[in-house]
Amino acid sequence: MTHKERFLKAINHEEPDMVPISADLDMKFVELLTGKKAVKEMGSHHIGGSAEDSIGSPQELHEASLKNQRLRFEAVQKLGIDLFKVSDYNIYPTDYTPKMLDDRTYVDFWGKIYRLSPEVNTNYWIDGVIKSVEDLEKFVPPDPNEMSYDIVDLAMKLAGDQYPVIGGIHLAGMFPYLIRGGLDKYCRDLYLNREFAHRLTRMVGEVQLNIAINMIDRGVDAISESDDIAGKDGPFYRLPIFRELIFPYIEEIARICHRHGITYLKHSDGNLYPILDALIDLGIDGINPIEPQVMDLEDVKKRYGHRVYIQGNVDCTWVLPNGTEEDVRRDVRRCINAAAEGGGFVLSESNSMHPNVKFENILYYVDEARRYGKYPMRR
Amino acid sequence: MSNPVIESITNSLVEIDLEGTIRGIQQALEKSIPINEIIRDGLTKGMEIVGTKFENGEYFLAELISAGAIMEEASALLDPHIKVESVTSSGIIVAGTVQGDLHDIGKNILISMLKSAAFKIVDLGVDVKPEEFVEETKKVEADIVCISALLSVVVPELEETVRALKQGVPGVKILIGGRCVDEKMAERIGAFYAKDAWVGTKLAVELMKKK
Repeated sequence: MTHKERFLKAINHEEPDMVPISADLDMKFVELLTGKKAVKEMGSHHIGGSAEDSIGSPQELHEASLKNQRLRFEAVQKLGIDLFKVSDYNIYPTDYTPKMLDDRTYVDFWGKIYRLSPEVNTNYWIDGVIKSVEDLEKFVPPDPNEMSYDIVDLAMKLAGDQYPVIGGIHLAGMFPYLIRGGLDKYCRDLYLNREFAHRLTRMVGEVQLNIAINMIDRGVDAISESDDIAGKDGPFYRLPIFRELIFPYIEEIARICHRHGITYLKHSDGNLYPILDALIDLGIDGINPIEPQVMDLEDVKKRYGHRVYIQGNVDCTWVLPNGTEEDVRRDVRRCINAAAEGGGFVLSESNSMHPNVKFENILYYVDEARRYGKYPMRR
Repeated sequence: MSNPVIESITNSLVEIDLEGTIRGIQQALEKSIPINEIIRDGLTKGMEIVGTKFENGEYFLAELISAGAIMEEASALLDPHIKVESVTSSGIIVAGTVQGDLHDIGKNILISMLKSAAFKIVDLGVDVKPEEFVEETKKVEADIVCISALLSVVVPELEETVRALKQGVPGVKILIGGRCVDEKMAERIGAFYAKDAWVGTKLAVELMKKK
């Protein structure tokens, strides 16, 4: 069975030969697995690894993104996992150069502001450029048709018929509050200036929707949308607000995915219980990651496993960064025991293999999943 | 029986209605209703109801933050009418994010809630060194220090800050919160833990009662 067949069978709620494995690898681990240096995509959301920055022309950034995507594929092969992801974080306007505010801080093409932290070898979102209605009026959003999708074409070519290519996207659920300078400011807008919140959300939602459509048109095998819309306490907003601002884009992309015969996985950290029924009613096909600190994988499988496939949820907050080999193996078994029977399950970490995860724990994670995750399950 | 104008302030705040809250306060001022009554029976009561709805899962972060924002607007409107001697502060709090952490949303939400509970706040901002926390806490004679941390990479700095405060300002209450923090960690390093801004505010009020 190929990686692609395994994945497709699982998400169609059938039992493949073994549980498919996903791992969203920081570039640090891509470098460790391949033994090759990545190029830091200066101006991208995510920077890991230890390579030189690609500050320079749009062409240099473009080449860096293609090189890194090749390395990601090599890392997927070396690690022996099943899913190969291509993310909209690495899709840029063809004329894009990040605007440097100082030698450590830059503004990306969406007006999100990031600061590099060489001490911990990565970068963090810190602010956004839209502080007022006037800022929004002046802001020129990126044109989704003036962006390079070569990285998606490359991913499709590399994957061939062996690996499923997962199109990682964002819609209207997260970038608006990042561009606005924070969730607190966006939340205030929702009640104190709803029209402003609407305009900002619409501007982002329409562009991101078209980026996703362009990725789907290039043949990705599934869509995985990663807007965080909840925290440990629960969803950020009440259901009517979600229905008014965020859900229309989810519903639309789910419809487009289904028209193309592919599935739509919804990711969000946090406790999604209060809106899970409503999300599933929108037509999503899968849910990830079921944050282990606030949601229960077995419970979600029992209650929702017949309607959506589940991708989760080995703990990446404590177990993967700090746990022993046995801690990791135990947590992998917990997930498989809870959700693998009958298919409809992909094993993943509970957010990402971020830079603080221990490299050897990633290897134990895959090894235990392969050892323990064989179908049929006899528990 | 409570005053209908005061009731309208409470209800408007609970409905997260800025205009209604401000209109109610203006009417109350016109009717010469005492400021203490507007704050205690109108706004504070409204905030308590919002907090209870948040705890019950009826309201979420957006409602909590927006109610805090309305409280700030209300305070700005009431400030010129408040006689200095009639104002009683709940206590002095120094707040900041730990060294290496630039994420201040959680801290800002907490500050907004604390202000609504009449605390005087000294906001040190983000990326605050342990010695800055110690120095400022001594300087303003703070009752409580609130430290926020989002990133797990800054846990060592958080521990160092708590250690420095315990050594440099013995007796000061230390309250920690943020994504990378939990009850166990707080217990281990000898701090109080707040899982969210509302719990943090209630805890700060409780800590002041015990002083």
